[in-house]
Amino acid sequence: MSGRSTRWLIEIALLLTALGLGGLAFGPVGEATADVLYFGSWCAAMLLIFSLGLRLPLHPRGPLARLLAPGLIATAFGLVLFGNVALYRHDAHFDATVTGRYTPPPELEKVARQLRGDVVLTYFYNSKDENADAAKQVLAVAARRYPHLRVRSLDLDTEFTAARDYGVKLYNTVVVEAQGRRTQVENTVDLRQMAYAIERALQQRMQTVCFMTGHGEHYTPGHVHYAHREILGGEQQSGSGLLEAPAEGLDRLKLAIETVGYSDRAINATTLPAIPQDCAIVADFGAVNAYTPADVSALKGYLLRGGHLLLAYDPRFSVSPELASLLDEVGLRAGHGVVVDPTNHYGTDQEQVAVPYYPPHPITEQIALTVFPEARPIRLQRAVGGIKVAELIATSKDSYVRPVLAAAGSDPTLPSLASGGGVGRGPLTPQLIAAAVQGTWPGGGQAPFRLILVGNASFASNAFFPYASNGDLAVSMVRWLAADTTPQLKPETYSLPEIRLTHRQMQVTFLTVEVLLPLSVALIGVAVWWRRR
Amino acid sequence: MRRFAALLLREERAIFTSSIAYVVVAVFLVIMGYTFTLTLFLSHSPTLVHLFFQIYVLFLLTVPIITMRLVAEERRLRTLELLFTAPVSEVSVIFAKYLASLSLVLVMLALSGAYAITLGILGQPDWGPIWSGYLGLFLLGAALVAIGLMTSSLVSNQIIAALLSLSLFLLLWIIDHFGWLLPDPFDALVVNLSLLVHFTPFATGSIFLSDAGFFISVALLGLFLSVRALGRR
Repeated sequence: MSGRSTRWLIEIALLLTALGLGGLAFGPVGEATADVLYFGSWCAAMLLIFSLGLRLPLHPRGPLARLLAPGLIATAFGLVLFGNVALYRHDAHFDATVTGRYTPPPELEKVARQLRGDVVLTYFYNSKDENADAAKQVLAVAARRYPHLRVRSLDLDTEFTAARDYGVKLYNTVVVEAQGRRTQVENTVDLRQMAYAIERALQQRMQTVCFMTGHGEHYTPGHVHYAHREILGGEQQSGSGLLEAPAEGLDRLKLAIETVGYSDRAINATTLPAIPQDCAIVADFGAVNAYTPADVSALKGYLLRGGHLLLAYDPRFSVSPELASLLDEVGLRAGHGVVVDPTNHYGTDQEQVAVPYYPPHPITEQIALTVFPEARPIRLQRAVGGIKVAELIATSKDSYVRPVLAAAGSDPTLPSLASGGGVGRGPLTPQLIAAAVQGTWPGGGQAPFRLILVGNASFASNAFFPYASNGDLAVSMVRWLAADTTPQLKPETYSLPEIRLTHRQMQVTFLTVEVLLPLSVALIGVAVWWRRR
Repeated sequence: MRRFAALLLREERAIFTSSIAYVVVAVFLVIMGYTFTLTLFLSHSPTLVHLFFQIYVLFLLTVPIITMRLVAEERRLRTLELLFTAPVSEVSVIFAKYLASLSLVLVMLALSGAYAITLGILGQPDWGPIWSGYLGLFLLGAALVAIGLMTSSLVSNQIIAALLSLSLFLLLWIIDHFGWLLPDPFDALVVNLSLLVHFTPFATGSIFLSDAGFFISVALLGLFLSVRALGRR
């Protein structure tokens, strides 16, 4: 077979490959496979065009010969440009790292894939923060994969004008602009948080946690004020956030649930005829004053409709008879007293109960140690048909309950703190301090409800939220109530093991790669030169 | 095919018997070895990312030296006419010169593989970014050699050919900085002409097929223009 025939055969094969792979790419295959097939088709087409281009006469004759050369060059540039634009629009990405460092989290992928219009995300990153740099790189990958996601990463230390225009003062601030709306998240390296910011800008995510107020709770609506913290050289820091908020407040919890895509607001059940429809979850943390009958009635109505309720009460909260009756309907009782655990506690305070292990439950399956300062016991009264009750958190078998001591001038029925009060202690037994209930409300529930009762509210307060896994537990409770099953991923902080060399290893490495390798090439060169000479 | 093999052998001999190749490779290895040992001893991290960026810069500087004489020298010495008295086409000549130059780039990459092997012996590197980095360097080298060959085909002075190549490489290196100043959609167009924009993902272990396509298309364009330039002799 002559060379000319072989070339024709190759060109026909390239044509068939381009058409075949292109046809398959538009067939019923996944998006990623289609993009790879498209790339194969593109390569075959480019080689074919190249081969055909080489067939054009090198020495054209005729009246248009002078125009042919510039025309061909312009056409070649045009084809390359067109080809690259076409390939860019059907791009495929592969993350070659073992840690998946360049793979956007599923939350961001989902949001970016569903974009139908342009969303501009401006990230004012801290160039000295490794986590911010990693987030910036993943954003760049996401932007290339999803053209509607337009990402600008700006170094806050150098882009003063842009920062001033946006009113950005904190490192790692994300500004999302879409459809004339704007959301801003400060001090974040979490790509999921950025995804939720996009959803909020597009008003796609409307799950609201309603915090009850009016009973002395410390929920404060509005923006949390927090500042960045300077990071020392070797310190591993994933969030670098420092809250400036009252110790008993719920600002850290608010920030954490906003991070995973919830919004929050305050409600006062006493003044409302019913719990509002937009409340995906109702939470009451740290009530001090007893509920009115109207409060309990509103809560019961909410649970009858299939509501999701999280009640966290410290020992000093007075449980009204109406509330006790409500809890009793599902077999629960908020006990009296303070749990003391001489075996598992935080520091030297036996009343700061520490819980390292949990009965199996979706809420606690990924939770490590948690700490509950001054918890009250929860009692399981009885089994109720159609309702499943799960023990969530229990203390060690050496625990007991002591009565609540009254401070001077407070409830005269409680033992006095000053007098010692003749404080007795209950039997040593594991004390339940949280339980989860789900099912249909007995006697007329319209939809399945979920209820969590925790004998402590302080664990989620600003002061104790960062303790061990307290924050994770609070967020996990919210997610379980909302039936939120998306995986809760931690920001990747994995790094490859370092190489620590001995002095001898350093010497050998240096001699091999810096001396022997170049020297051997130079010697071969000298030998070749010597032979030719 | 036999004639093409003879041409290729001639070009390979010309490259690997010239002192330029050995000087270039030896200097390349000294600089790379220094960077590798310094990075490893100071950062203790089993990665070649810094090295890949250094090789990228060195390719921009050394490829013009490798390619400058390919056609320009033959044109100056008038050996091209002699060559074309044999039954060989312009396409074969260009392809042979291209593959021979690319083989020198491959030798440089293969020798730099010693650093990856060293990392493998001393620690547990993430091999994904190492493979993708080498793939990116190969594609970059293929594109640069084609551009260098094109400039060598355009002029008859090898110094001018080298300077022309170097200027083009530097322009394509920094062009993305100008791109950000332009309005949409010209910004994206100009930014995507940048060699560094397309190389960076490879070096860090994030492979976009469009980046591979960019280097392939630039290499094909360079070869096509080289053939056309040689044809106007």
